[in-house]
Amino acid sequence: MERVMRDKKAAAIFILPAFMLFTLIIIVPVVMSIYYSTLDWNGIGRQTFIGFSNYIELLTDRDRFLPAVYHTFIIAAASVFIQLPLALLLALILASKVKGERFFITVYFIPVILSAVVIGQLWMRIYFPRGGLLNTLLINLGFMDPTRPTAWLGDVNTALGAVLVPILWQYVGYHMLLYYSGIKSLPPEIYEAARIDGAGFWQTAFKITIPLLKPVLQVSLTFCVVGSMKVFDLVRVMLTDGGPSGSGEVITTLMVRRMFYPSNRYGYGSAMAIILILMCVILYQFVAHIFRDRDKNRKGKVRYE
Amino acid sequence: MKLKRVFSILLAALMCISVMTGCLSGGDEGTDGDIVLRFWNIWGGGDANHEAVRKVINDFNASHPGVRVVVEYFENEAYKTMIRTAVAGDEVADVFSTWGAGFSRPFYEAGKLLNLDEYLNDGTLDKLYGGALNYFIYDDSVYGLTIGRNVSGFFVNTKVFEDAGAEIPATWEELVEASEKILASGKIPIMTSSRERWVIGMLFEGMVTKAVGASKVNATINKEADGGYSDPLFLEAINRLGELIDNGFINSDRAALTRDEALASFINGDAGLYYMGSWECSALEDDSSLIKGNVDWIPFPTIPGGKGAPTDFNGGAIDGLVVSANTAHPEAAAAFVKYFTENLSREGDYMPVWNTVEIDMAIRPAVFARIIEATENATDYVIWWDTFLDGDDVTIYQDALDRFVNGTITAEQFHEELKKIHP
Amino acid sequence: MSDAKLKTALRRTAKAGLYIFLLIWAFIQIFPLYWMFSFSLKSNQEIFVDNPIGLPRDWLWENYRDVIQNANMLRYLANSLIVSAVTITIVTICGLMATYAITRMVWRGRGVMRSYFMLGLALPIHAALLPIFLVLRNMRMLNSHWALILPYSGFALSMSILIFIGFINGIPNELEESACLDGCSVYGIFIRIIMPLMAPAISVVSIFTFLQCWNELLFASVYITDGRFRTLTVGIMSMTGQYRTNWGPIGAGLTVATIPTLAIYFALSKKVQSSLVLGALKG
Repeated sequence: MERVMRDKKAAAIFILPAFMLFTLIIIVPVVMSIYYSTLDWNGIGRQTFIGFSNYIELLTDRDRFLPAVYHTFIIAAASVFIQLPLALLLALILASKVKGERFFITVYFIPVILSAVVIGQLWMRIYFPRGGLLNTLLINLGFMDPTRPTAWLGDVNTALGAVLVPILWQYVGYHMLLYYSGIKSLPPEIYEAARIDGAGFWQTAFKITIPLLKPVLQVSLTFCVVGSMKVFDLVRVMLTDGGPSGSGEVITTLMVRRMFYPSNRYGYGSAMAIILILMCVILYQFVAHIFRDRDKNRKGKVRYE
Repeated sequence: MKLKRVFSILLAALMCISVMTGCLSGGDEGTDGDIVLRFWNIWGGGDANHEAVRKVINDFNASHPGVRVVVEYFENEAYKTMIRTAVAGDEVADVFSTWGAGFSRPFYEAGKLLNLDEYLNDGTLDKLYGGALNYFIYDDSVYGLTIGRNVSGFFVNTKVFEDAGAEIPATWEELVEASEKILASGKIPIMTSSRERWVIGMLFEGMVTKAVGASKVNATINKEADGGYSDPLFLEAINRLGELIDNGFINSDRAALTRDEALASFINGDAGLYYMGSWECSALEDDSSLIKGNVDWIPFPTIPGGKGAPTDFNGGAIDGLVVSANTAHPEAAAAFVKYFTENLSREGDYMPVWNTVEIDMAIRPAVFARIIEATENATDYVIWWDTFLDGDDVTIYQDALDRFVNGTITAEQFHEELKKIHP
Repeated sequence: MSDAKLKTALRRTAKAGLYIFLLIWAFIQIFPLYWMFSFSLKSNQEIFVDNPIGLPRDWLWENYRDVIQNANMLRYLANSLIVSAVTITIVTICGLMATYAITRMVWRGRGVMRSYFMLGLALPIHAALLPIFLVLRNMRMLNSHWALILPYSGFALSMSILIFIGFINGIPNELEESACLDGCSVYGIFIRIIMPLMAPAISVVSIFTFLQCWNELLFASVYITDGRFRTLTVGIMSMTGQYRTNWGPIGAGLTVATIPTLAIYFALSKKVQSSLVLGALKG
């Protein structure tokens, strides 16, 4: 077995297609962007080399960039601590032989399927100040003064929170499907044993399922954290230009408006992109680090060193 | 193996589709010897001008044997990114629609636009009203032709005014008085959106024109005026905007509303005034509009102590067509641009810039005629700042405006930001 | 009441509570689908002012007519299907092969290679817009299906490898070892053992990849300027106007565009669920 698996030619054949494609589409553009980030350039005309000026300008921009970084981290934290536990809970329930399992799994995934335009438009109707679903509800329950309805997406204090809810909600089904398929591919004998030992739902979940689910949890946590850094569509649809006074601005929405229309500062926008890439890489490594210790125990079983 | 079956079905479907599209795509190539001009624009199926655009292109193809225009329609927002990328990569169509002044300046500076001067000496220039091409002239040469002029101002719901017992205002005092009455009648005096910054920007720029005076504003945004934005009258305009907001004359949910939503609300009869460009006429007088027949139009009222004349307006001929410097058929492309712009201004929803064009008022919305009438004696126009200023200056201006209308910065701070554009 | 009886009663209530929770959540998740359909039949006035949530007052079926009668929509649909199908095929095959090499085979630098692929997760697509455009132009691939297939595949690759690694680590390698003893080559092991065992992971990756390219708007609107290769989402969004947008027909277009997504999801999620059987096989 070891000899077979050390076949270098086979390894090269297996890795090559992905490697070529990836280098061409991802790595080359990253390298180009690093170069662009040192330029004063509108994307079309003359390029002027300005060294690290773009980075310095960004890291001292207390008005726009740093708040956008802060908002992005809030979204990431909320996703990890609200979205993922909810998704895991749903997956655990649905995998524990609930009637209508297929129906629920399918329905819970629907928001993931819909385009951001639909989701964004729907939530804008929900948040609509005059006669929107949320305000109508609050007024009827007596929590809101009908003459002074809250403009959820238009208020400096509520815009970020208002856009956060649909972001969390839309992707619950996504992580749920990951967990669910992970749970379903665990050997059923383990559960047999647990049942015979008289373990309850929570016991089984915490003692058996979740530890065995570690690889999938790592995948999902990585997607969640790194994906939050890059969140764009819903924020763009629901807040257009970053919300009132930039109170809902995230890194990507700012980057796009700086890079293209209306600012046209391609070099400056590229610097923002490079900072974003670095943040993602660091967070990826951080998540990998959290899970590394557990991996070591299983190493002997899987690897051949 | 089930998976195999799924894949083989997918593959089979794929092949059928490829064959199908292969057939579909066959028809687009030109007949041998024909010059094919590729033309990109943003007047797709949902646009008010779509039918007119199609008709003009078909007419051109019919009347110009040997030349064939192949057209692609794009979505407005994506187009702004797409066209820049395409121009940067020299992958742009022969003729494409764009915006003059600040938007197309980088194209000109990078040498991507065809100089049209030599093609316009056939009497074309005489057919245009003076100043019509201002925003397509870079360094004294013409690089594009415009389709027509748009003007911004207040659309008035006359029924809301009548019900509130208010008069249509011509001065600031009258505006305040009317707003108070409308507010008391339970309606919103002025409807706008600050979520899309250019919308409230238009209103603000209308106020600046009346406070500072059109010629001074033009010189300032052109960075040619002494003192520029430092003029205290700019601060005066900012303070007046603050006054409208503080008194509740502008809808308090402006930061939550998109322009579509603000427009729908005005059409619903929720507000007395709505500040927007003249392209909105047909939407307001559409058969489905709830305020059809009750719409009037006024420019922003005069401001006490302001230097703007009642006949100073905001607007300009900023929508137009340019030719790529890389086109293989400059002659034919220029001919098409001339034909298209002149004829679309007859068919489309724009104020005329061609003196050869007679507009049939009978088929136009009533309020459109009101705007033509009101602007007949125009003394001067100021173009919308966001289309005129360079990219980074737009950002400074719009960010500061956004912060001011949301109460994050004061009027003085807003004024300081403006001075950063041109001290 | 005896202790046992109380326990059963409690369990019953808990169970009923659980189902109520599941059903409420189901209602919340299904609501957008209803809403999309109802908004596709309304005018702007109803959507924005009078009737944002309720059933349409006048059912504007002509919104659908606008979409379906648009002669190009069929072509756009075909383009979207071609791009998605080829992308999924490339991503699953390349991704699974790379995963196999990284996790099961032994060679120097495989750890580095794994991190290398993960860099793709970090790249925001908007930042790559211009660079990839230039790469594609130099390869003369703009305005073809490849102009979308290559970037979509490149971007989905990292995600697919990450998912595959998560799943392959859960597969014990006894099966491979016995196949090896039977004289199976490394390629044979990959095709006969790994591919079938990874079927649920392949389904998950296919679903996620499909979602990514089906709704993608940015690359599709910048790299494709020739109408013959335009995708469905871009085709629908091109119905918006410069100054005014009629949202009803766009809703109708989006509803139509959602049908293939639902179909593919149904088809593939069944695959995920059948992994139960595979689980038994593994043990």
